[in-house]
Amino acid sequence: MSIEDRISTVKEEIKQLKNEINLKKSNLSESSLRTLASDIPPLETSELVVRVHLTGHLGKVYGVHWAEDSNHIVSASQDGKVIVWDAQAQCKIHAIRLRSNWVMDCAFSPSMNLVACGGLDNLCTIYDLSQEEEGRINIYRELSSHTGYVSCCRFLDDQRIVTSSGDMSCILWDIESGSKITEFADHNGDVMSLDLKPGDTNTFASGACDATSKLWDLRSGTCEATFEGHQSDINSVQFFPDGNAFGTGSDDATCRLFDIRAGRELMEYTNDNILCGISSVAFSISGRLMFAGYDNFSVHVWDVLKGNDTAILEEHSNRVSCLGVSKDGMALVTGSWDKELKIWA
Amino acid sequence: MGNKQKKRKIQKKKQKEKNERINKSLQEGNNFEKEMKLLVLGTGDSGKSTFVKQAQILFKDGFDEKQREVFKQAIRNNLILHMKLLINGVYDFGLDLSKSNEKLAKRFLEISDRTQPDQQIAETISKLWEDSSVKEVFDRRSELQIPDTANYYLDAIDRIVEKNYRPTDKDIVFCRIPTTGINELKFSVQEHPWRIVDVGGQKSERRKWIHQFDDVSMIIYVVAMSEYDQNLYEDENINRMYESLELFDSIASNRIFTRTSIILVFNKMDIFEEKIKKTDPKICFKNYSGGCDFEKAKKYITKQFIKVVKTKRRKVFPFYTQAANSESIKKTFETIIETVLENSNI
Repeated sequence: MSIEDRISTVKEEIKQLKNEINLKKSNLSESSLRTLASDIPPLETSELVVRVHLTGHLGKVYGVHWAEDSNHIVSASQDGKVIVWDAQAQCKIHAIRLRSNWVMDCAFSPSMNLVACGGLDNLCTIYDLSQEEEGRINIYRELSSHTGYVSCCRFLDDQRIVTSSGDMSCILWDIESGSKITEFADHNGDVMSLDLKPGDTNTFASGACDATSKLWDLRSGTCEATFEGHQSDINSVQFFPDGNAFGTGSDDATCRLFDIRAGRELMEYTNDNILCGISSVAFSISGRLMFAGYDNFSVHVWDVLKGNDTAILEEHSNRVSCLGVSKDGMALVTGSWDKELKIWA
Repeated sequence: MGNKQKKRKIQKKKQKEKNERINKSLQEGNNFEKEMKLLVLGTGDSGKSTFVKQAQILFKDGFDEKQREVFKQAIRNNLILHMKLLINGVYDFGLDLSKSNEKLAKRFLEISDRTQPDQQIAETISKLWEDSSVKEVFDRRSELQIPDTANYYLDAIDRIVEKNYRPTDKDIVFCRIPTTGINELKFSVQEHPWRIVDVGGQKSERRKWIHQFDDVSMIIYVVAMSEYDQNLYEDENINRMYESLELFDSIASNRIFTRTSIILVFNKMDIFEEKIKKTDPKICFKNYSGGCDFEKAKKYITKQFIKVVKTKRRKVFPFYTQAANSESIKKTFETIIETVLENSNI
């Protein structure tokens, strides 16, 4: 048998084994989340309304992130600018000029001193907001090592940051020295998103174009668990507030909830009318709601327990590319290709 | 008014002023909305970055000293890398080096890939370059991954290793540095801001970033006309021109670019002219029957690409260039600029 034939036979075997495992798993499960939650009364939410429109970007907004004070927001746009906003005062605090326009994500450090962004230049660039010179903020560090675009970046603290990349790996960096501490390579596709586990400084989750999400150990660099289920690229990954589960959004038009302890998918959030991909997901502070940004310009608010759509927010005039819930749970910010940011409450 | 209130009022005023200043700076000095963007696409080694370098020479008065320094290092380092490829080629083809060169070669292969050649290394390279087997490998370079311009630099090694060596524009244009990430150039023509972007360095899933370029004025698709008998660096079982046709197909049929004009730049025509005398394109295109005829081959290959663009509504212009011929490049750019401005009704 030729090598190609041997590979296809083995692939078939693997597929069959996986199906058998999944069958055994579902036979063992006592119930599904949907069934268990059927007795819970449906949520009575007040309608989410846009409270603030943040305008100023001249190009598509690709990334947005709340600061820990639940008031400042950082956003990145294709116009080559990263803007730091004061949400309550509805004004701009900083406008940083990027070296490369092609940015894909941005982030605030927990201390709010640093801001990071990454994109098609394969770099993660860090800016120190406290070092403003004549109204300009210069590059503090340029983290270079990825051989593909940087899709997402999240600070552990002012000294360390984790990035995910189109080169199929994630990297933990030491910012001061600008060097790699650990490399996380196990995905078979571009890694599109990552999220740090709340209350645990040693774990993070990633989602990739190989349709899997993985949990990683920051110290050892090993992949602790892999979650399958999605049928296409996973674009966004976000931990459930208690850190024991995480939500994902994918090009397969579904969002899913994966439980870490059960090691499996708990629920799929979709319906027949949804035919486009999800770019970003975020949980409400209680975890009862999951916000998902869609390519068809809308944001859906899913009831995490019952699995249904509780609301569809349609205010953007182009794809919703990024969103986030503030730490105090009071507001949702959405960023879109329509160049605007909107804050909802 | 109490002190605290006063302070807060002043703070608020400052905040507002800063906001105004930022708003102003965002509006001015940002040509983003007026910018004409050109996206350069093509498979590896087709000549995309060379195209951008030529734009730099044409529109930005060439390269500054800092850039020249970077190229100088790369050119010198390439001397070592390319000679290593040639020597390995000798072994791969089962050829023999002369006895004295055999010893030199063994020692030479142990030099680190990141070295810059000193006098001794340069002499070694010169001697090896004169070996008939090495020359034969260079002739058969299509079977390996040896760049066509390797001989240009090896012939000029004395000039290159000289202490005061300053790379000429031609040295820079021919220099092969694989692009990583993104390579772009901003320039101004007819008082208009332009930007040419080469994303050749991304080996990742195009679908995840191609939407960043959904508003480009034109796509410049570069094809090395001479690669019809070469295989990919990434996968030696795949013919480079096939790969180029496939990529072109996926770009041309991408929903994002339904209305975008495409220009086809067939590059390395000089190398093609030499190659076509000996190698029949039948090796790549089974249905081709024109033989080793330059005009027939050129026409046939062009047709293979043009027929990929199925919608008649879309305009596809073919151009033929070669790196050293600035006239052909200039003409290509002139047409690009003319077409883009025409289509945008400016």
